[in-house]
Amino acid sequence: MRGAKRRSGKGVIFPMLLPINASMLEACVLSVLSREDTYGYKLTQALTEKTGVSESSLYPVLRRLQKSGALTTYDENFSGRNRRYYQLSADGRRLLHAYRREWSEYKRSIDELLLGQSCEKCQMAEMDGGEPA
Amino acid sequence: MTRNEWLAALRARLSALPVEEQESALRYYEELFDEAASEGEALQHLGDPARHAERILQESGVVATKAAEGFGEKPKKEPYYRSVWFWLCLIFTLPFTLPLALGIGGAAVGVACAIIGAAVAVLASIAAILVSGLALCVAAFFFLPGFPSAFLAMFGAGLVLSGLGAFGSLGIGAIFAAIGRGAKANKAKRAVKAQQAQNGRQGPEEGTENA
Repeated sequence: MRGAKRRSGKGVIFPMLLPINASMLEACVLSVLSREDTYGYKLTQALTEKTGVSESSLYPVLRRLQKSGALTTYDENFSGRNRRYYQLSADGRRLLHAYRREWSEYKRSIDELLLGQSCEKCQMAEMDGGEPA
Repeated sequence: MTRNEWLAALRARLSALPVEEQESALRYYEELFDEAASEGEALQHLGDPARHAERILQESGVVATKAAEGFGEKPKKEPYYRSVWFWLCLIFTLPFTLPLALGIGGAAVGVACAIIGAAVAVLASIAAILVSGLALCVAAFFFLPGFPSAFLAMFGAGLVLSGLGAFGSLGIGAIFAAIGRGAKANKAKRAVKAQQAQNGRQGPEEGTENA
């Protein structure tokens, strides 16, 4: 993962010690699309900024999800040209649900191992249905 | 490099893919150029088209991924006994290897027999000591009415022999128990090893390269 960078909240770029892997990137794509249908450029921007993946990682993930039926595309006219929008299918939603469930388990175990606490705040926040404090 | 050059370079590198796949990728990248604030900005963001092409090819399985190379099945080596050369060599060296093999085999059988024989002898003598000790204890009672001193001597000797035999039996029992434990531990170890080998083969599935 030479040179992979992640932008922090303040826009500071720092080298990434824990790069995201293919499945997690897939999960993130699904999650972004679950909020609203999005076109390639916006999706790429959103994900490269947050996860530090290179732009070359995005298209293969999109194509894979599209082929497996997790997402579909449609074209919409925008100022004289077509924008290709990506939309989550029912299968995609199920996949995202599975990813989210696994992630919360995984996150809890890693928090416990890495931060040395049972992360009670996270569990409580999860029960409330909000973001961890 | 201009937008068109970049896209042409990408397409050239994707020529191994079906036309449909090429079109899909080109379509995606054209849109990125369309949406970017300027052609220059898009070019700067995207970087080398070769890297993008490589990732697309990896995804479609045309180029083996690094992860797959690292963890996938290694090409299986043909076992030596399948090769003609092995058998030819074996046949031509028979005049030398046959006596050698017979000698080594004979020696191995001899050593095995010796070990088994020694073990049987030890077992038998311990059993004999135990049995004769007990017999002496019983037989001593025949002398009890007339010769109390002979009874005492014989009974004492019988106890000593019985004791020795009992100790010997305990020792043999311990040795067998140890062998049994060893075999069990070995079996467990082999099972663990097999499991580990299986896990290793499954390995991490897929690495993403973010460079």
